[in-house]
Amino acid sequence: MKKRILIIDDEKDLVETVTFRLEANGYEVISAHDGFVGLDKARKEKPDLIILDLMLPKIDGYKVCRMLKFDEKYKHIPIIMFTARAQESDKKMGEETGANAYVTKPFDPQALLTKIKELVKEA
Amino acid sequence: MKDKLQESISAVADNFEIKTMVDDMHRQNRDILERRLFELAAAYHIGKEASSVFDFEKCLRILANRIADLLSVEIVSLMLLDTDKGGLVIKFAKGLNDEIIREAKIKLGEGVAGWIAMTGEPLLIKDLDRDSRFSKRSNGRYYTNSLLSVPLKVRDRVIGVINVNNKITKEVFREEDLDILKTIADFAAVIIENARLQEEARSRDQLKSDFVSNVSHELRTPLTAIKEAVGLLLEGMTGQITQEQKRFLEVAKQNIERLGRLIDELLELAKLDAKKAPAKRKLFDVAGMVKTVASSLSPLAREKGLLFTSILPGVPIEIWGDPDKLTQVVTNLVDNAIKYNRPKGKVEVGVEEKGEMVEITVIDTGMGIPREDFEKIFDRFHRMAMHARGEVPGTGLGLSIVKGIVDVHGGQVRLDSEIGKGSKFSVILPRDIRKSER
Repeated sequence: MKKRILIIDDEKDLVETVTFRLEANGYEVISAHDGFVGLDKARKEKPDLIILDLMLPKIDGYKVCRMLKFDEKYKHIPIIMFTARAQESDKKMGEETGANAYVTKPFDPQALLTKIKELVKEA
Repeated sequence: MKDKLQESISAVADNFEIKTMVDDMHRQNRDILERRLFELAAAYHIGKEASSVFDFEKCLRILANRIADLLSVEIVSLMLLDTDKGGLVIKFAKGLNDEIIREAKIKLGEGVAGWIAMTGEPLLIKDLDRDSRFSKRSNGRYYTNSLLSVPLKVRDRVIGVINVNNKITKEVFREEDLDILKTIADFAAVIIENARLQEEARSRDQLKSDFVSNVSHELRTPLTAIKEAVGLLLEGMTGQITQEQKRFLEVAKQNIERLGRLIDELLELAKLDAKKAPAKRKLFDVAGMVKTVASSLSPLAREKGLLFTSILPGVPIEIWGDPDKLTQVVTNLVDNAIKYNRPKGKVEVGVEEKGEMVEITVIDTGMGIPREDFEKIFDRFHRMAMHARGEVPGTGLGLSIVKGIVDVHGGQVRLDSEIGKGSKFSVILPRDIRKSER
């Protein structure tokens, strides 16, 4: 069965391109453009992995991450933090909220695919 | 005979009187001198303490608290001239509630503080009721009708006023109190002015750096989408592309990467501008770091047909600094040495311990840098004529980042260069900057 990935990012163009690449690599992709819908989809659709932007409308990425990672029911879902902020403090905060990996934009597509593969296998 | 005796006695008595008078005078002089010394010492200590603080508010708080201690008063207010608001504003006060602090805005010439700001003269009033210049104070905040206020002056320009009220002993203010406060005010004025200027410069830097940091973020987001879209086309994921299409997509890709590097470097410079000390300083082996950079960049040099050598000590050299930032320094320099070199040229990288310092050298056999450009090459966006024509890729920010990082590590960058022969960049870093910062 195809593994399902949820992308939560308010940049629709980016979501579209990433979706294309992931689908081409054999994943099923669902998406959300804000934190609120993202959290809802994460809970309802139970994806195998979440790619999560930090700066999101309604609920920011850190909060979405925390709410999932501190919930017994969802904490097993691997989360890749996806952001244009590359400062050390942000990275640290991402780790503290329990994200499994951290990818900064602009990103290397191959590195992203490798990371996804690793995390989906682990889970 | 009797008269003689009388005379002698009275002469002795006179002498004695004179002696006591002289003694008294000496004592008084000594007292004055001692008091003056005490004032100066006290003012000096207050000044020293306040000037060691970089935070403006904190600096004012220290001044107010120490003045209160020294003069044994309950209320001290520091008012500064605010040109925007056209008068004096309380910037810090001890013993007054916030409401009074907020509401106290005094025009020049108005009330006691306003009079001082206008005339630049200190004021000691023993009984305000008897001073026709000022109106009476109405509320019951004060024990006595006595007050003491002195101007804060920098180069004869009034920048504010210090007011003190309510001696703990409930006494009236005396001349001695005025002398002490005047002495402190001389020191305090310079310190306050300095702290204010620094604060202004800091907030300007912070604003600029926040701006660049936000802009960088806003630029990266669309760039990511463009990069991904071009990448999908280029990799043929949307279908076969022709050689021509491929060629132009490659051009797009390279320029996207260039823009990405530019944004990273701008962000890096903005961080250096905000004078944020490197966040991750620790003791690390700088020789090992240079070795790592050398081995990661030497393949690139060989690819371009350059002879790459590194002269490294056999033992680790520990220095206190940010390993990531210093790695970037060496990377930028070596990268330049490779980029700006002649065919079949040489690149030499070395590290050497020099007492309390470490010297990292990067030597190339490029075209050399004219002496008049020595300073300019560290400027932002400065690119030498040939490179600006686009013959060699680069952003023109590499060397200013090098300089910025070396600066925050308390080091310096030196340059030796001969036209037609090549250049030598030396980075000299203190091994442990904590020793000089203490």
